[in-house]
Amino acid sequence: MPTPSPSAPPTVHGLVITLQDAEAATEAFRERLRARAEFYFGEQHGKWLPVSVITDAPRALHGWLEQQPEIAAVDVVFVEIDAPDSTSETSAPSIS
Amino acid sequence: MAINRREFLLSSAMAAATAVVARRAGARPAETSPTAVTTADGIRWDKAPCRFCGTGCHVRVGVRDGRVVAIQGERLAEVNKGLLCVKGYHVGGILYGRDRLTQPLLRRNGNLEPISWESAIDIIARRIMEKPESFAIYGSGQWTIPEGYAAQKFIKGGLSNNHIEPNARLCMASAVTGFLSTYGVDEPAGCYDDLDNADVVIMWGNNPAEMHPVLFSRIIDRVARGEKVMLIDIGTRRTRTTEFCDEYLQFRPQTDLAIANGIAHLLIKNDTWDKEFVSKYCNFRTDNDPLDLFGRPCSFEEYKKLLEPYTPEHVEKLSGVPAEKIRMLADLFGRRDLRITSLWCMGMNQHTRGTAINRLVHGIHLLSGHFGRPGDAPTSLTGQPSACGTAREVGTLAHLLPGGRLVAKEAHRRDAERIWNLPEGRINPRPGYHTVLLWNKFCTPTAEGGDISTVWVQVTNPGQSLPDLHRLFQSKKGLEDKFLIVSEVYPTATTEIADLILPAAMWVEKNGIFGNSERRTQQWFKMVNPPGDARDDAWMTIAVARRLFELGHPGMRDKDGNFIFTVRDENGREVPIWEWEHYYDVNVDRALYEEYRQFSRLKHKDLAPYDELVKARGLRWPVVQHEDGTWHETPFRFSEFSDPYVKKGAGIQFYHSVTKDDRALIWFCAYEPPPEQPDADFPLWLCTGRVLEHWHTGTMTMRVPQLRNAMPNAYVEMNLADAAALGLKNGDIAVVESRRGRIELPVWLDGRGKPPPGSVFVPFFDERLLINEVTLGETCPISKEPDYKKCAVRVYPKGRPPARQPAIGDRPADRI
Ligand code: SF4
Repeated sequence: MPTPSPSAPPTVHGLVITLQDAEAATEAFRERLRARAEFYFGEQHGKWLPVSVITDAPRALHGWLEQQPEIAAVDVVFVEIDAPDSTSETSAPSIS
Repeated sequence: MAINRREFLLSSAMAAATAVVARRAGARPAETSPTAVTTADGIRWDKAPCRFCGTGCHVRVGVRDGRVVAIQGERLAEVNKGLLCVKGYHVGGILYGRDRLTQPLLRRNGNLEPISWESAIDIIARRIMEKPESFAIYGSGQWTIPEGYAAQKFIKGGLSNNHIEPNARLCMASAVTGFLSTYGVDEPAGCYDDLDNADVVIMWGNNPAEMHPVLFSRIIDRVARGEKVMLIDIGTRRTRTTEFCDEYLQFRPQTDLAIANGIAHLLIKNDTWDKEFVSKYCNFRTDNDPLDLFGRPCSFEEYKKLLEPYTPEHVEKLSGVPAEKIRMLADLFGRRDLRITSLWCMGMNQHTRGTAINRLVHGIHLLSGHFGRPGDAPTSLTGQPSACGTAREVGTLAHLLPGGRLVAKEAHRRDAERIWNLPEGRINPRPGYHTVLLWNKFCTPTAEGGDISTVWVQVTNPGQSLPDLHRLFQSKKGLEDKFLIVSEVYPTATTEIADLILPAAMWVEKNGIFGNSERRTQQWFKMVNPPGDARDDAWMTIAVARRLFELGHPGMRDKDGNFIFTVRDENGREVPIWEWEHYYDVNVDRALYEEYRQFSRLKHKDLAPYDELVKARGLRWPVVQHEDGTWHETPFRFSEFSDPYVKKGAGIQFYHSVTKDDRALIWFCAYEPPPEQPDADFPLWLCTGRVLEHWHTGTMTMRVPQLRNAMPNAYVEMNLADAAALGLKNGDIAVVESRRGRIELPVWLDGRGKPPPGSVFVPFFDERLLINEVTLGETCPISKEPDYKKCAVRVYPKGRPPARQPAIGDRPADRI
């Protein structure tokens, strides 16, 4: 089964969180998110909450967010590309 | 107050998220510019389609200091409305893997050595001069439209040998033959708007939650808003898509034909077929023996009789789908008050009866009248960003000319020769080799009939994606007179055995145009420079053509003696675009596209002018100019309310009908067992496919740390009971072996997909674990598309092979 290798450097992401209901984004909920990563919250409209976040493990964070009882869905709408020195390569067949 | 880069990106991310939230809450989307704008922090934002799948989402690409620094979904793009999937958000990262190819490399004495571009171009040209008839180009649905068009013109108008194929043969050729034999013309009548209007969406062997996530989220968004949409998954294994569906109908591989026939049987038996629609707009057809593209006419009575055996109980016996579920499907199709959209992709196309199942699904929509209203549509999706635009519309297949026309038809050849200003008779009437045959000929010694000696691969990775790799690719090794040229961005399984490697520019490192799955043509401009000495694929083709012109190849001249790729500036002066320093002196994309656009009007596939594409976020053809001078796209083809080519009062008109009477064909095709199925020696079905995080062979996405970390390697997905019986646990290394090859993979149990007992699934993105060494080379006899979705394998723990050891290659089906 897939085993993630060490994570990438932190990058900025813009997310749209769809809440289970419009009352779900309590301060306790926001605190729980901030404890996990550097979250910034925008103005909520109905069930939709815009956030920006800095994380080095976006996929793991995404999966964690989806498991929170207050959250119905998470969409990504913005991603920063890695800093220039953080790009990497695969174990592609080498050119010899 | 100074604002640092990180703060600015945080505020940009918040602005993008806030805009999407506002749109979801009902506000008008904030305006974004289709042309480039520079924001306060010096980031220049410009539009482009995503580089990956055929959904064709639009992104806004942020560039600073010559480098892509951020990506956001394009809020005003109708396709994706600001959203992207995880691949799309990381699309900028694909440019920056450390092992980008940056200089031409020639293999000498087994080693790759740097050479100049001049030498590389000369080597290719001289190889072609020696044996033009045995040269082939193998490209893909990732070619931009101008790149594919340049290659097409070079081969068919210049070399006159027709040996050009795209890898799209491996993924959507059966969809093409399905559309052609049903409507007389390729590509879907409907569009993505159908997903906003359907009451029922049926996924036929399709997993859009992973393969076309943004389209799938468009449906799920409706469900989240409380709209009633019934989702039905007809599949051979549970996937992420299944989790969202109201019904999951699991069928035995290949028996989708029986299910479709079972629905048609009941529509007739229950008298719920749409007699008015059928009497106005349809004729009936069935197969000839041997099978061919257009079959033979049959009466309604014969059609009905042919369907008689497909009772729900018989279909249950064949497919494993309970009879009452077949009745449920037929009842849905029998209701006029519902709108039904069928979606499919590789599950129906990569099938030894791929043409047949495509025809049958079109057929049940036509028979039940579920066609032509928004939400009522049989719609095939494509896996590559320009499979429709470049492979199907430019016609980069061995038998096609641009605009959906045929090399075998004299009138079509004359039209092409006129547009290309070539002497009459230049275009060869004989189709070239289809993909599997082309690679088989390349990998067969010349003395034994292997009459393809040089293949130039552009924008694809056949060393990983062809089926039955030992036979169709790797056996090239050791054939001294064969020569493989590969234009690539990264080292791949294909460059591993290449004789000449050409470093290529990719995506926003060049100008481009793609055509997505809903007939939408999308343009973008070059935004950053390619690394090192990497160059555009279209330039490479033109440079080789020019070298051939200099060497005296007569095909490189038009009938006035001019170079076939002559491009002039606004003052009418020829620009030497074969010299890299001058390639961007003019917009070569624009010149090639405007020439190609003339073909599109020959079959009512009218493309918009280049300058209209620049202003838009993609336009769906036919794009027709109104009297006031404005250009209008066509969301729904063949329907009078949308398509300007439909006669007033006709309602629906299939104006390229096979029977020349404006009617589509409802086909009967019998269910037939597959050529290889599990037996005592190889007791399990193998299905292969893709995963959410990686795009096709992983060449690009495996270079993006976030994507690679999320899905670092391939695996074999097994049923829990099968694994227990074989003594395999999660993470154990298993051997997956067929009559053609074997590989070792970690086992994944209860993972993302859940195969039923008796079957396994392996993704093909991992270049270290080539599952296509195991797959079958059998093809649909009409489309020539291989079946990657089913063959027989056995699985066992590494180091513990079963006692019985059948020989590899002991069945006739393993050989051409
Ligand atoms: S990979 Fe496909 S679904 Fe994902 S963003 Fe790109 S075009 Fe859209």
